[in-house]
Amino acid sequence: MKRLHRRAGQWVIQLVLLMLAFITFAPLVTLLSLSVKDIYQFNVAPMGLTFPMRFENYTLAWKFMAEPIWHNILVATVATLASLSMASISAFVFARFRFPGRDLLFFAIMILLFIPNTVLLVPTYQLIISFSLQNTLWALILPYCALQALAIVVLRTFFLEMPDELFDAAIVDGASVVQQFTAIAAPLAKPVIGAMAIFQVWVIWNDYAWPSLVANAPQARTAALALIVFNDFTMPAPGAGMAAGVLAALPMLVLFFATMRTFIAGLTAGAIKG
Amino acid sequence: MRQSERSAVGEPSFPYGQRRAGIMQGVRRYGLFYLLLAPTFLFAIAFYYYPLLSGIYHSFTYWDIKRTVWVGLDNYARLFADPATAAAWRNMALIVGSQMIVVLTFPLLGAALVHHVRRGQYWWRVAFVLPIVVPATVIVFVWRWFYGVDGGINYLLRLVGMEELTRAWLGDPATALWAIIFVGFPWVAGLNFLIYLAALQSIPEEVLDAARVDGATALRTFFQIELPMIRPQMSLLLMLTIIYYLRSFDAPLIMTNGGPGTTGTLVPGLQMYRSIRDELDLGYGSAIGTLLFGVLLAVSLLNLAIRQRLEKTV
Repeated sequence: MKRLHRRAGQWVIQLVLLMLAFITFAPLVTLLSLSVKDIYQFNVAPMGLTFPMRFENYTLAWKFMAEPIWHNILVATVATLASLSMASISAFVFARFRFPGRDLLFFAIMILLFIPNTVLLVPTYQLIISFSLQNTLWALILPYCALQALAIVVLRTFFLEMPDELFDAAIVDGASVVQQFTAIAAPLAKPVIGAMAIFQVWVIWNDYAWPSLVANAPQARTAALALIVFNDFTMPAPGAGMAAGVLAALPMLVLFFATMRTFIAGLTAGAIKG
Repeated sequence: MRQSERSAVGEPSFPYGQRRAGIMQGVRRYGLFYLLLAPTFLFAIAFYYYPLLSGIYHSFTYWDIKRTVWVGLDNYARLFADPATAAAWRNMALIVGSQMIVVLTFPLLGAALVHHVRRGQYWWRVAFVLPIVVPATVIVFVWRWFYGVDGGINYLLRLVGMEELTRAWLGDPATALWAIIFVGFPWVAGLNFLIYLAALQSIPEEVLDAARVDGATALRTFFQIELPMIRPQMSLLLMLTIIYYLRSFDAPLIMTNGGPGTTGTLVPGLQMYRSIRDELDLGYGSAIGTLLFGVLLAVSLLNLAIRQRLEKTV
């Protein structure tokens, strides 16, 4: 009797999950199906599949989206590599050494977590304009390089928990601070650094407001921005507009399936900060 | 003993010699640390500390790209007199309030179900993480289409013969703000889900076993044991939700640009954004940014205070 009860419970769980998943995925599936419709199919039967599928929508969208997607990849890669290199060596210094002012300096980094970039939008915009960096990729790369506080806090905790014995032999051999970091600490921290890196890439890929202010020209446009510009200003065939949406999401999906475990770990760590 | 303890000032330390350090040696000993921290601080100063101070200072000035003129409290007077400000904060309060309810219900339900499902737990988890990977702009873009006059929602309504309910969901003042709040329904897939799930999975088995021996039903176990144990995560997520929606404005920016009208879905963040993009009035924008920062800081400090008090009483 009890087992029957439990089995019924499991069925209910599966059913509710299925419903939740269905509603969650409905918009995304609709996006996919809309992206292969010509204008007639789009207007008459927007929901559900229609044949023949118009894959030429993607050719059209790709022409507009290829360069912005490349900008995104470039910006995310350069900014993430740079910010995490700086953040991890700083975290190492904060965690393993003692020097005057250390705690004060660390505090100065920690409070950055309480300053959301949104409230700095205006003065940062002025900064970019006054250096004439608007509509260059530097307008994106440089501010994104400053996203280090979370990684420093997380990595510092990691380095603090490393046993001293790991470093003893190296120190006796006269290894410098940098050598201790590159030879011992960094390799062990790889999973954590990887998770933080993926979170960083995700944050950068998701940003819309900042690029729309300082990089709204073809030579610096990012994928998210290009998607909206493509749809609102170039008035493409509606299916092609949807195809552009799929293309904008594709690189992150590839990254997700290539690094699933690290990806989830990174999101979880990043979510705590928000 | 930790290496960091060992190399305390005055104590023997590796690798920079074992004598008490002179000034020159002090510079040599510590200089490297500051040098290694320098890049981090260079960026922190350029993109956090300087903008923060500059924003606060310039909120008291007329500021465009070319000139700065001290105007005292003019920007703030204008901000508080502007009916758009009141509307923006009212809209934002409604969004924050709704999302507070959302964060405590749907993602928690999803996480609890995935936590208790026996078959295919891994795949359910992947399924609800996957949509997070899709850039927010793409999600908002799809929902914008759904809300359109010829969009998905109206199509479905016509299909089931409820023609009279169709409308421009984002153009109608009665529905626009709610339409924006409903983006992402059922709000299960998201970072909140991941946090809840991790919390549920970290509850020790012994605690649950004890309840099972007592013959508690699954529902009772959930409400009497699991829910109290993840209360810290609930309050954390509640806090993060408040802070996030206080400042975020991507959805209104992409879907309505603050309309219908001038303030239908306007929020303070968007008001600030428009002061740059539409008016190039950086002083006014700085005043909005400074006000927003003040409120965010107050909320964060309040949160810290509450948490400390809770820790004391427990």
